[in-house]
Amino acid sequence: MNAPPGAARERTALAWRRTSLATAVNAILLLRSSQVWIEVAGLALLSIATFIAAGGAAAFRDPGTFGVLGGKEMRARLAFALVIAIGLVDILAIVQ
Amino acid sequence: MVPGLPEPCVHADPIGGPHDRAGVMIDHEPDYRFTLANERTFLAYLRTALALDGAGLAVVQFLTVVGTREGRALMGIALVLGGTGTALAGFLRWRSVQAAMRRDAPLPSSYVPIALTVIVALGSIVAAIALALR
Repeated sequence: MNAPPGAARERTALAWRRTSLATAVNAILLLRSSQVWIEVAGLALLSIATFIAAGGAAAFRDPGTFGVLGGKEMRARLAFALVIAIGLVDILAIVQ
Repeated sequence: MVPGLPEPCVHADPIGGPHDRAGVMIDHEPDYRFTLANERTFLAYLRTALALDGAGLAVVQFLTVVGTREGRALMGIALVLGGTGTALAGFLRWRSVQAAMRRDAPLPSSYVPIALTVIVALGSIVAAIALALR
């Protein structure tokens, strides 16, 4: 618990930013769709990507943070569910 | 000693972590650096899943001069399903590693990197063949 501070927290914060960028790329691809509801989903996903970037940055301002997940399964489940939902919308956008 | 848990045995199990006197493993909060490393690995799996999802959409949207529409849709759906599987594997991996670290147990092995390599290699081969036959 009293390990010396290193770059672990900074690396994790950057990993969250990269994840938000990957989410934003998916959102932009969805925004190219001709279906209105898929475009709305893309806009919602773009908002979520912004939220992920902002939330990650805010969480790692605390020098004593254990990360966004912090070893808590419910938070990991939420992140997993978000990616599954993105995949579902992507499949619907493909078959349209 | 962890408050609320039994006192660890002086002679801990040689292959596991701390045990109580009855031989039951004791959970504890791992070093935060290990928790953060596990979080980064989980995020790397999620990014791989998102990249596969994006590739699935991109195949349908951008590779319009290759193959038939149905073929592109099939390829796109296969890539997105690969992304879904990657996300699931990443979550299960994160959970099992976190549980192992809490018990000071050896980290579980995984076949997911091999499976991912096969998926990406097959996707690349199919894309190369499709471009060559264009």
